[in-house]
Amino acid sequence: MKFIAIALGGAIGAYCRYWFGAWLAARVNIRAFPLAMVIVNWLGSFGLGVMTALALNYHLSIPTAVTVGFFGAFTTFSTFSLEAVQLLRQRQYVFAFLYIVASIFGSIALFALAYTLF
Amino acid sequence: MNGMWKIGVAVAVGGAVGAVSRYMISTVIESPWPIATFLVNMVGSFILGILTGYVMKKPLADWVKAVIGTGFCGGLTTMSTFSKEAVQLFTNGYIWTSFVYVAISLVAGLAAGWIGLLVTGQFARKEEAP
Repeated sequence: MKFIAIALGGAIGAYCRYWFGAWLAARVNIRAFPLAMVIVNWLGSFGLGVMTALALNYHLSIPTAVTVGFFGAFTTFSTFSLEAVQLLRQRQYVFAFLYIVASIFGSIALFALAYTLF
Repeated sequence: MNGMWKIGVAVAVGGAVGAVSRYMISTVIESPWPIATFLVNMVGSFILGILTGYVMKKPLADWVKAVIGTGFCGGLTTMSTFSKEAVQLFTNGYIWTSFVYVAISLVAGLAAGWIGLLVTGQFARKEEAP
């Protein structure tokens, strides 16, 4: 049962990431910088921060399907790695640096922010 | 819009398998340190590198890219749990471990992706689409 719930959360999370990427690509035309995954990872890390805080401070039991399933699959590390590698290979060093800092430290900072706010 | 739903289903199915795999690995590797997340992030980056390199060289159906790349690799790897672990290591007093975790994940993740890319894409560099 737990596996089915995590699978469902993962399916929805991955689909939302895909949908958001497509939605943003249709509206914001910046090919040089992979903005969509930065935003997705920020949103997902902030969201998981809220869930973690709710569980800790308000003793709510947040289902694994939401934390591990949805937020885990919504955010991604593999696409981050590949996009960073592609920027480096294209010698876009400034964009690569900004992308790495924004993704890694932005996600950590947003998790920490949500964690302390709620 | 025709065919879009197929990609969406492929992403969802891949994401489900990826998320369950990540969960299973986290239950198998029981450790106070975030080794499971590190492992899945490296494996996922490597597989996505292989896929990306392959796609540079040969055409691949969109749904296959969606199920393996966006779905499975995206669902297997995670930035949110990574952030959570980095913050919790830090707040639990393991400040240096937290820094090391972040630094190694970043460097090894990029290296895994790059090596994967070279495995399948090393002869494709010149034909690469702009």
